[in-house]
Amino acid sequence: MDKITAIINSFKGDKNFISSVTRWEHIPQRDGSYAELPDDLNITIRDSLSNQGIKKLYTHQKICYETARSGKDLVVVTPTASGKTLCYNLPVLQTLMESEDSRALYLFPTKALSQDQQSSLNEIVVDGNLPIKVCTYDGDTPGSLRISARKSGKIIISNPDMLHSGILPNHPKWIEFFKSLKYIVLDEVHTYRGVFGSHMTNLVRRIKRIAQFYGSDPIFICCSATIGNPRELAEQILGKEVVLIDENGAPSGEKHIILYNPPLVDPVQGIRRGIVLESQRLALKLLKQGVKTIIFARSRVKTELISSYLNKSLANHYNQNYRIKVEPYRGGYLPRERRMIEKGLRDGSISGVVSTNALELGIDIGGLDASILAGYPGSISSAWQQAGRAGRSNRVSLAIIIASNSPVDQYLTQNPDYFFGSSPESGFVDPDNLYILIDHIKCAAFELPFRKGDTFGGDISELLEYLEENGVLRYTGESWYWADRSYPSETISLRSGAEENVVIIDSTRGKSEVIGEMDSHSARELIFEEAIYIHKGDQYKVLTLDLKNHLCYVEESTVNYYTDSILKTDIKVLEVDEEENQFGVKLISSDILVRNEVSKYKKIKFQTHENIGYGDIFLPEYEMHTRSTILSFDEDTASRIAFDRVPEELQAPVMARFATLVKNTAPIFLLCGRGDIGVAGRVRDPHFEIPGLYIYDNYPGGIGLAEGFHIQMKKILEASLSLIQKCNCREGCPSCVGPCDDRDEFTGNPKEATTLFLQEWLQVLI
Amino acid sequence: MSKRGSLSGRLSRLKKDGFAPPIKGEMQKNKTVHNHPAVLLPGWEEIYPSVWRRAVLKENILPFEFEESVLFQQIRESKNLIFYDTETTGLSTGAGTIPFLIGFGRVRESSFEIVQYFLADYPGEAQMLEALKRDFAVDSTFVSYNGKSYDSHLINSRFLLNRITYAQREELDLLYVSRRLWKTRLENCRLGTIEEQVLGIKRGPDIPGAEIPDVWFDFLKTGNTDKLKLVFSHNLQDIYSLSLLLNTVDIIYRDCPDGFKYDKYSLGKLLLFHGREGGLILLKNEYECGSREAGQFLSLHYKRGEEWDLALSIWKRLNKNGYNLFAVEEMAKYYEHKSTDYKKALSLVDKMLKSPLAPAGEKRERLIYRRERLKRKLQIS
Repeated sequence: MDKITAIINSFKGDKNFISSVTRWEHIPQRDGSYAELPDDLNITIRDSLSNQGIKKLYTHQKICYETARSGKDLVVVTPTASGKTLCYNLPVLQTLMESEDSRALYLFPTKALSQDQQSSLNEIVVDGNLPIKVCTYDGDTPGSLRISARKSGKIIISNPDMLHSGILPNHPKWIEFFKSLKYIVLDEVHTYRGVFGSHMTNLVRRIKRIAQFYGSDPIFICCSATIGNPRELAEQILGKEVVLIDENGAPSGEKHIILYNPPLVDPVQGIRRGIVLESQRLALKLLKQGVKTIIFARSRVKTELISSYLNKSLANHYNQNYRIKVEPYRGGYLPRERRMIEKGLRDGSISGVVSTNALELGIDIGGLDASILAGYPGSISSAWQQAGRAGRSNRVSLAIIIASNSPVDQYLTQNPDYFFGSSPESGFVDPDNLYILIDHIKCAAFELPFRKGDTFGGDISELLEYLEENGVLRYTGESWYWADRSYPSETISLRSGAEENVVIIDSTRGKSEVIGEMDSHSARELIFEEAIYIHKGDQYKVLTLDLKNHLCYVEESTVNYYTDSILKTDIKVLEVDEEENQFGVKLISSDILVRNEVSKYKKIKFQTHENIGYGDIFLPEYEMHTRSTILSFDEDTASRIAFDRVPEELQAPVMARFATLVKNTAPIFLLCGRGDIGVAGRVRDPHFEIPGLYIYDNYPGGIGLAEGFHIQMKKILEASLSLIQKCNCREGCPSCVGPCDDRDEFTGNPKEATTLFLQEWLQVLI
Repeated sequence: MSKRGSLSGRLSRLKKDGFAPPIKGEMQKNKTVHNHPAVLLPGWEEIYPSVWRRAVLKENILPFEFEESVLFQQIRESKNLIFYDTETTGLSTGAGTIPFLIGFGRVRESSFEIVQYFLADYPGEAQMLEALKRDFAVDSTFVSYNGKSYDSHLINSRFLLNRITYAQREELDLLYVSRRLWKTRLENCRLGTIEEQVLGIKRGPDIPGAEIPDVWFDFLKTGNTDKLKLVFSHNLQDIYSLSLLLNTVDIIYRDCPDGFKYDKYSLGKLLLFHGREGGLILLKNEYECGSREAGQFLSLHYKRGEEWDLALSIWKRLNKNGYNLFAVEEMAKYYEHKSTDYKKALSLVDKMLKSPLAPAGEKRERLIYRRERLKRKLQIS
């Protein structure tokens, strides 16, 4: 019996363990469904595949081949280990072998992924002696290789950022490439959502414009993880119809997936054992049995915490920590540090790794036996990808998903069918976020002038006029020309808002060493003055946060707590676009002004996580203009009737709890982080003068979530009701409607009142 | 899915509330003048709408032909050379940067004629390029300053973007030549610096290159030509200086004269590389005048030619004080492998290692390795 089977059996016999398991899903080994290699497949490719032991295809690979070769754009849904690369490599290589001039562009969301994909492509191309030159072209490509890549690269592997700032603005140097561009592969297309996705949509508009200038019309092949709306998302990004291929013909090894809800510590307040401690305890069991394990934590801080706890528990001078080496891994480390860890995992010198989602996407770290998810990673598709990190090579594997106190976690553990059924989560983008759109129109005008009547995802003549007014475009001879000395893409980042990252500098004892970076949005909430910042297990205290110059100075510290900031929000309605009655409530689409302020933070003790005090934060208010959907409880609607039945003293607490529920469940269906949407309840809204709830995009100009809310609203409301009904707590806890910390303001039970309110209202849904 | 208001409606709302997308252009905001009054440029002629041209005659100082030399691999008649320079709307060679002024100089009969094309607005570009194409003989050689990595790319892109076929010409980039001759002698290799320090030219009123893009944009908006005239003369001077520079460089390459502040060691290496007698003479002179690097280079040249006596004499002289690592190593190699005088080789290495000036780190390891090998060889023999 192998180690992993032994440990699975021991878990099965462990009563304590089993009592916390809400679902033990045993996924038996599954056979693949196969298809013959395409008849027209080039003999050299055929031989190369055969040398790698590939003599037939999975059915979905064959369908991809046929679809792409017939000239249709497609999106293929590719769970972990489903032979994704052949889905696009095969039609591309075949076309390239048939006509020597053809070219293809592969875009991966990160540099690390492109490196990995290049090596998998090389297995076919280099080992099979195919006369096709594959070049990686990114920020790390040396100048000497760039010229030959442009001139003779048949497949260019790059990333959206490089395309945006390096390739498109210099397209005349790429004439050979663009004029023969036959395919564009967009991998991990589900990651192109929210801000990044809205940028990507515009970037695709720019590529299409340039391709058209050179007379080519490339076919797009997109790959997506399992999400609820892969076709819709791909169609929004590409601006055209695509064929969806979502059956999976790949075989898979035997898997045990365990949903684990840590035992209740305080049943009244609904407090459970923490994920940090639980994941550490379970990981230790696995590691000590020699099971190679990856632990995924939800935040950078938790990654550091878990790995330092693990290493402390393993500490033993005599046997070098039982010869078990555990490393933390996350963004913010330098590339060299990361490569060392990846290598250690592959060669076996590292037996355990604690990671953020940085290791979730295809980076090769070899075969692991078990994965532990310390909390849901924020989306079900990520959870599957993280669970899929173990057991790639058709062996028995184990994944334990530990639920945190967070409501999403509690909802999903208590409703396992959501996890194992068809995916409820959908990705959204806002292709017309004005801030993002305007930035890309500038880049596009630099690339080629806009003629009168040209479109860019729609009519943009007024935006062109706006840019002309501001002196960066010149309208003359029926065209708008770029009329500024700057290079616009240089100052526009696809990844975050327009703002630069904050660089974190360790200045302990006069040092001045860069130890990491963070986007300025998070910086406000995480590395304010006096905050505790944890990097590679070491603790630092923030001395100053200089948002203007994007610098944060820290020094080493040894306090026994960490910090958590508290956010306050004001909202003003600017303009109402549209109103619609649905599900017993009026939905209002509007533009709003949000004013955010972080003015206080909590100090939370390590290990016990108790609150041991407050501190003040002195940062300027942060205002933004964004998109909102308002649930307005209008006269005579079911929502209003139900709300009017709530005793008056409980109306405010019920509204606050409803807001919490929506904020907690919406991310499951909108495929976003909890921080990406804002939710604010008002008993009597100052603008509409009726009770209502604001759901808004937490990003200037909107990223499509408020709009997505309309589509997913029914599911979100149902989930809200289910979450509150199934929670064991008495008066509310952090896992459902939040703890009852406003006890002195009313007498009734706010949790009961909220449940009742939702039940009455949502009868309309049944 | 809700339909959001039209983009323009949203834009005007954002503007009203002070949240309009910020435009991070580098230009100051200024109301554009669409139809500025007919530009009055004395001495210029508008040959197509928005395309202006002028020709200026200067004294020609170029010889009838350039002899075959390291600079020109074969005889080149001056009348086949085109000296060119562009003034642009930005610093990158990206698709949004436009050369709004393209000037070129060539020998015409007894004079040096400089032709300039000025683009007074974007739509004239294609016609300007067509005119330019007619002016450029296919067999001409271009002479530029940094044209190989900048201007030529830009011009190629512009032809391409206007869908006009254009074959790139052979090009001599004097920036590379200048770097070889003056990099170690002048604070920088900008054309202006070389004009002043080598050619002895004092420019009149001029405009810094960095300000040039804004002058054109300002002209587009206001029609003001005052500063534009400075750009025209700047371009004119650059092109004329190119012809003077070529002449000077040719003399330096052929005759290696004194003066002109150039780096003789660097030129000597180049000429020697091309098998020119002059290179050897330059290097010998430099070595005689005390240049250690010239000595080293020369000794390696003799070594390659197996002129051991000549090489040895240099090494011995370099190693007068006994502690010249280069010379010690070269001599040790010679005694070990050529004359198999292990004792002599060993004593040189030993002395070096024991000296207070002995090298550290990898160089020391190398010496020790050699010493041990020599010791072994001595024992065997």
